[in-house]
Amino acid sequence: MSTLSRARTGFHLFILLLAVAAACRVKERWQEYTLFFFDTLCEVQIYGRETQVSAARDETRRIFTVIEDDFSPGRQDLTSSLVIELFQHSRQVYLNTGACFDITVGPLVELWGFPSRAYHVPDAEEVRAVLLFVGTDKIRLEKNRIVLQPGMKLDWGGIAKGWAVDLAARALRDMGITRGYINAGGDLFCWGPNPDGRDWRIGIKHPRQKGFLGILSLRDGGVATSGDYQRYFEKDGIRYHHIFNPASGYPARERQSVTAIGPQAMLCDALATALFVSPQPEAILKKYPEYGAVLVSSRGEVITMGKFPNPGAFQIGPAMDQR
Amino acid sequence: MDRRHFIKTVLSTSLLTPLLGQAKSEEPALVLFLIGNHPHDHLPVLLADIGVEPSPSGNRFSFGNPHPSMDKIKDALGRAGWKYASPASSTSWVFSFQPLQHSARPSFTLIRDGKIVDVRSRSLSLLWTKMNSSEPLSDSLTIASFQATRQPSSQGRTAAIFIDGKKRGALALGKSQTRRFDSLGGEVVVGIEEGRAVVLASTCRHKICRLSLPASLAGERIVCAPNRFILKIEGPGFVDTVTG
Repeated sequence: MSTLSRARTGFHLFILLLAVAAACRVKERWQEYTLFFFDTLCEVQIYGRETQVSAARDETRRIFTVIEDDFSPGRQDLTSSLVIELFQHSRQVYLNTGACFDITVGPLVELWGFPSRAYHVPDAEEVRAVLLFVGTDKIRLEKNRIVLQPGMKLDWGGIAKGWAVDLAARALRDMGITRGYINAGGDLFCWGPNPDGRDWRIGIKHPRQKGFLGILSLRDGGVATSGDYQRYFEKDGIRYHHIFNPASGYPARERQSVTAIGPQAMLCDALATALFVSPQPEAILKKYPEYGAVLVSSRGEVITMGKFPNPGAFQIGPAMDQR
Repeated sequence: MDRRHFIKTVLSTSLLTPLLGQAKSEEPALVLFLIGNHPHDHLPVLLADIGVEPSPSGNRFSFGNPHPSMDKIKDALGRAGWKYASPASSTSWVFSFQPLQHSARPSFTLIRDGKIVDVRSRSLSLLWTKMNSSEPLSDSLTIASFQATRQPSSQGRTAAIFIDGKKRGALALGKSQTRRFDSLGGEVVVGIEEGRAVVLASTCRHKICRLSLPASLAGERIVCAPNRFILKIEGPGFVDTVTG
């Protein structure tokens, strides 16, 4: 090879190397996308390269589609491995919460007209009749399926969304996305620092007023809220909401809202419901020492209990602009 | 510990900076910072001395976060005629807890209207000196802030409209206007009036978006799921996302 040819080859190699280097240096940046699943808005904000974000969006959509398909009312395959797995999680929470969280409230939800929005205040006799079909302890788990008694109906609304968030967050982290959050209608998981390099600031909606009850600061973990203002109807001046006390068959009356915080969005989701219903929320949190909660009583008192990432992690009142 | 050392210690906490900023920007501002393991022993005296006497119906207080001495503070202030209540928006004072980055001598300071009040010139000087000299080092900071200093400063600037995840417009909240948006399921009409955004009409079935409260604070949103429509208030926001 002549000197000239060697020089040309070297030049071409140099150009090629430059191109490869440029391709490798695709910048990471914050990007957001929104999806509609579980009858609500799902927001995702992540830090990554364009290709990562595109793959993340596809993966989030795939996971949410699978969970929505398996756990939507009327589309329940009781032999699905996902259904069996989530049932096992649900049953554990049912046992740990003294039956305050119960996925078998489906017949109650229907009796009161929530799925169809044909709202109805049943009489005591109707409630008593439906309560015969409520109780996770009535479900039998066989090898490859769960078996319901006739008349029973599952309502996964208090746990499936949180689980979907956990699964999606885990998938995105496995893809190398080191910072972000996934928020499916208030059930959320965040990880890594926020765009300002600080903890994520999560506004908790005020159950009775416009604006926020307070701000949670969280670096890694899940959050979920159950409130009597999310789905309800009023009759004769009384608010009837969708969070039922599985023991009485009536909407729970102890709280206006409960926000749970902890390592998994799924458990936050379920605990928010259980703590909303339970007269002894502290006893429940003792069984979940990694979790904390912000409770708003029926009189509007704000009570915090359980574990928070640090003592200042929850601040009552609107936060200030710190940007 | 002299006052300069105390202020330096307090400034090393992450919580003070926003509180000071808030105290400067809004009036009236009254914030008491108290270092010590026994805030319940001192708060009634301190609060009485700075001119906060229980009203006939009782001054009301709440907690901004879990405080290790919460029950003792409740008891001590209760005996002094205060009443524990919540939510914070209904109380005069909010007490918060913050760990210091290192231990310091027990002490306190008061910030009124953004300025540090020299408590040593008042009758509290004896207490200040006693705390400094006789109580053990502490890494516990109690912050008592007057509720009037905790108003939101989060009015949004624009209502951003997203349809199926794509931004389709941004309406300035400062200008009264009505805009129609073609969404996936039909038309959504948005109105801006007096700095607030509201959905005036929608082709969706249940009209949850139309029944939603007007949105005006940064971070608030109105969602119409059937139409894949989101109205999101943007501005100098103070939250990254929302639960509830």
